[in-house]
Amino acid sequence: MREIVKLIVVLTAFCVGSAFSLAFVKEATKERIEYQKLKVLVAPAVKAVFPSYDNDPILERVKVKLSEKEVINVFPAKKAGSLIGIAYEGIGSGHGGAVEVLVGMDLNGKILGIKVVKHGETPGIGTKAVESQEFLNQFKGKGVGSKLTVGGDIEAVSGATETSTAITEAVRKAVEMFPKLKEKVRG
Amino acid sequence: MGHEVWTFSDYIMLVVSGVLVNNILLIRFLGNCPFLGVSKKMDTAVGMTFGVIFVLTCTGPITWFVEHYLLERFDIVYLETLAFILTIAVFVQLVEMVIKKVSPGLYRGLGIYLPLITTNCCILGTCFYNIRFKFGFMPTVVFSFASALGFGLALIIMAGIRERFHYARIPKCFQDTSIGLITAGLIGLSFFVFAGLAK
Amino acid sequence: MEGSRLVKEFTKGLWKEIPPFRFVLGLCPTLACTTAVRDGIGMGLCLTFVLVCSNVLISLLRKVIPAQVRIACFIVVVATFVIIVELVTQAYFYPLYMALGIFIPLIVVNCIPLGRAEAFASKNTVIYSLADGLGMGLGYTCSLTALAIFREIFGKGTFLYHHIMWSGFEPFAFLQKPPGAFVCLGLMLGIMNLIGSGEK
Repeated sequence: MREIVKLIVVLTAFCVGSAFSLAFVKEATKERIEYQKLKVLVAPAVKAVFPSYDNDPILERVKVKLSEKEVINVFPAKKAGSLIGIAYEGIGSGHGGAVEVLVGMDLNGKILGIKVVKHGETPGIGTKAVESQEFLNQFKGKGVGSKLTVGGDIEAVSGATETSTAITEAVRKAVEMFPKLKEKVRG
Repeated sequence: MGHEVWTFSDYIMLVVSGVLVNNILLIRFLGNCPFLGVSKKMDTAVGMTFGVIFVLTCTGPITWFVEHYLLERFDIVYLETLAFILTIAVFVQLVEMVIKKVSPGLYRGLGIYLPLITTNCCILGTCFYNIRFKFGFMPTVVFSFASALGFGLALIIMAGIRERFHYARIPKCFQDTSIGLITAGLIGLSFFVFAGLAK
Repeated sequence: MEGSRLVKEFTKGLWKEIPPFRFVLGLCPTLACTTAVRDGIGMGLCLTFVLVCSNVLISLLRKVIPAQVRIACFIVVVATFVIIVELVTQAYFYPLYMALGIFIPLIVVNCIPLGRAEAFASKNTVIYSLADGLGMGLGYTCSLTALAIFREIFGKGTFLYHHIMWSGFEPFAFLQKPPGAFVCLGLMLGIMNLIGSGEK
């Protein structure tokens, strides 16, 4: 009996020791790992939506709490230390699921550029809207106060209406969030 | 590689991919240590094959459950490595105990491979792939089975060839492991014929 | 006298019992992670870290681990260090982490850490276990690097991802593919046996 108790105690001690040390290392590396993942996922898009900046928007990202469960990463672009714009994602629903669009805004609420970061649209059909520079450039200069709908200020790519609408929806939602996010990042 | 709705032909392609095109051993490099040790004789190769097919087809789905209903639920996905290897080790231990009690004959034939199978990287590796490829439950079962089948296929082909090495004059320095590896490479090359059949 | 034993335990992993050539263990990463020199070195160092840490810890606790559950305890220890390596490479060496993929967590079933735990660390003191782990780990790293150097230079024309071959060079792509790995390793093993037998 004593033998079995000893076995169980030793095994449990090992598992507990392991769990503690791993939880510790995990906490210590969490921020850094998120940074690395974002760098791979989002860095090219951040480069594409801001004309120029001299900081590391991903390293200096600000986490803003939108609601109980939702936290969004806002990437600030700076020049010589002062904020020139912020980039963050808006989500629209497309043909193949969520369409995530990174939107770069200047401090006056005007769109500097957009880039689709994640989508499940049909290659050759929906992706025409995802990849068309002409379509994406339409958004530049518009912003808070524009009619960001297909048929309003935005023209869809013919043959890719659903995807165009999804992208427009994503951008519209992003712009709607702008005042609140600008406050949080500035402040 | 993970899509929403799987048709029967999707499953067939998965099997073809697992056994031939992306053979777990010759192309994915998993399971090499026992491969060289056990492929010298046909009967050990066959014993190992059955063991791997049984263990992998069971632990693939079991670890899938562990991932989706335990690790994700408690947000401890980073403990995947630990959880999976413990699951596999416990499963193999239980199976060994059961076989020992139920069928001593089977234990004599198969039992000695079981501890070896625990540290066989193709078991743990396939369990990881099931998660990486975002498979649902049924595809997990099929892929696990197909990978084990591919392992067995490579093993048995190897054993068949290596038994004939007795009759070949191989320079001393190349004997045993060295020629085994070169042969494995050439067999793998022949599997390249299947590339393009499936993703 | 103690000093010379220490040196012996350390150096055996570097030639006489070098994995995976002499000690045929740890073959899977040898084949899979040697398409580039950076990956080979990275994999070798990750394994060395796990091996040294687990050897030391298991040796420290060898009197406490009951024989019946020793394999389970070894697995828990090795898996813990493997996860630590996983997290650290993810945090600080992300490109390497992406390149090595599932082979980092697969270190847990790599025969080298578990094999040395069973054969050596559980029966020897900490300082010798440290030397054993370090020697075997570094030997393994050298083997991986040697194979990777060959496969990268002739298979891709690069070294540490910089182009070094002359511009008309056609890389021998076979070396980069799985069958090439097997053949390459087999040939290297054969050559090492040849050299080894010459020494006797």
